[in-house]
Amino acid sequence: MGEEKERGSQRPYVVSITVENRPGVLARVASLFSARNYNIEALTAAHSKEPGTSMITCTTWGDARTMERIVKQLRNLVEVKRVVHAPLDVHNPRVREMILVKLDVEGQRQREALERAKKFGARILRRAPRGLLIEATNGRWIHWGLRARQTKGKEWIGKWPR
Amino acid sequence: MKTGSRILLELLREHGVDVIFGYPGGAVIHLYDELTRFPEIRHILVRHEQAAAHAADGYARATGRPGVCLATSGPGATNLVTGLACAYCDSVPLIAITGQVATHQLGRDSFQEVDIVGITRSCTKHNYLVRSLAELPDIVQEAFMVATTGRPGPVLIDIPRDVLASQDRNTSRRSSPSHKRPSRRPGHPLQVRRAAEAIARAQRPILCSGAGVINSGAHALLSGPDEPEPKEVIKPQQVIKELSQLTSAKAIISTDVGQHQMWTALNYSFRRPRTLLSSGGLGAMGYGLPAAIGAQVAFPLREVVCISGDGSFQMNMQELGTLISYDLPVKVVVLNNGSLGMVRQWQSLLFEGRYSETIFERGPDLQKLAQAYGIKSFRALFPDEVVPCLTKGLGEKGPVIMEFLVDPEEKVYPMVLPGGKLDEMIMGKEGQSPSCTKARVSGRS
Repeated sequence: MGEEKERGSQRPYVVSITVENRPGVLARVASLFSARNYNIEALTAAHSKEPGTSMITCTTWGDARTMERIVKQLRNLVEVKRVVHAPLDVHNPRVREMILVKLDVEGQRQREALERAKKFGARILRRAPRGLLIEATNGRWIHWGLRARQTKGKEWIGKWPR
Repeated sequence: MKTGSRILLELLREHGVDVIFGYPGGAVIHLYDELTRFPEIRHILVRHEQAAAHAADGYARATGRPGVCLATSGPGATNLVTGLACAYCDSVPLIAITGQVATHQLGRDSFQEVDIVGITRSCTKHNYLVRSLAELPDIVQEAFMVATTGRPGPVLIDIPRDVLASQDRNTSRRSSPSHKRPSRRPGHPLQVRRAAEAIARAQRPILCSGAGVINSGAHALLSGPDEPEPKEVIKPQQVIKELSQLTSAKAIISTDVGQHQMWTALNYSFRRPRTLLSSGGLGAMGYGLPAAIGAQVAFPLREVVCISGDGSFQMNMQELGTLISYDLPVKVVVLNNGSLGMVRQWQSLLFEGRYSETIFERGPDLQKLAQAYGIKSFRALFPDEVVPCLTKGLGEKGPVIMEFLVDPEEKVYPMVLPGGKLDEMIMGKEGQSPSCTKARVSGRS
């Protein structure tokens, strides 16, 4: 029964897992993915507003059937309280990427960069004579920033996430 | 003022634990000392920790209650791993307690230190490292709940030496630490109705049911057809059928892994739940004898038979020492074909009979081995000796080894090739090898 079919329908998913905040929980969750030969592409883990619980959010590639199996098995873990998953949709307004960029730019170039950053809704965290520290959660800015870095060479020596 | 060891044993007692299968060591020495003050908890000293896990598994499968095993840190803990994986594969409720180096020595490559919680993460239902004595009551409580409810499975509790040795200051027990409630939900109504409709429509239904049927107390009945009996050399099937007759199919049977396991499943007329103890999921050779020990400890008056092969038996035969120490009347049936029959069969059918490392040129004399342990033994070389051998062996009061020199060419049918589908099994006629027919069972794929 279609192993090929499964492989053909791989797509990115976001999985959001509410867990009890105990030592080793992250390892338990992560090994559930790795034991199925699934790679976690991105992951954040932090306290949630409920005391004693944390939230693990990750993105991974997979097919619908295996994702469903992973989610069910995640729910079987003692320390897991809730699991939600959905295909990753970049147009969904809740899907955000965050970036923190250090730009080594001075003078006129720095002024240009500031203008652009403001135009695309990024925040300036620090401004020094020799560089900028910029934060953005706007996907468009991130993509523009990446492109600019590639095309304009020296001007955008971004020291990527530090 | 109670020590961690005392608190642990009291908790185990509260959970109805009457037997622990274990092996002592430095990290659990305080626990073993405290054990002398708990006459109501029987400790069975095995000869290897793997056997402790398998014995606890056998105990749990035979009784339906969680089995408990205990090992020291480091090598003691790693020796449990096969037994835990075996119990995990077959959803057997198990509590494994391991000693650990003292908390201040953790993560320093200390003597006999391993990260057993990390090692067993993927072969236990859940596991714990007890960081302080205050956590212990809640952890034990939760461990029993996790092991026995929903889909059962093994749970490991790793306890540092200082936690076991330390004195308790305030044993204020917190309650209900986990959000997970014991789940014993009724079946999904729509799925149940679908199944009922499918059964009602079926002409010749075959039910393939999981262990949940027994766990929930709903037992199925099975029956199988008989086959003609061979002559000249002992056919292994004959041994199992005679055993089934002579024990009125009421004995608790444990098996090891290999051809004898299949022959037992095919030829012993099991009628009751919890009478076949077998490593079905993991396929751990060496499971049989310790599992039989676990069952016999749980049911001292019932007939417990371990059916093994000469390969599997040699994997945990040190447990004969445990048998005699506790005078457990386990009857061991060894179907001796001088080879690793199951792999040999594959090599015969798939690798043109190149028997790479599956034939034991020489094996131990099991009669003398039995003698060394002071165990009675019988041997059958020819078919007409099978019944007398079994009758004598089963008639003994103590443990017995019954050895049957069986036809090494005999194969198990039906056989499913590795990765093959169930409707493409090789049927072959029993007693007539290797010319086998590939039969396609009619049905949809």
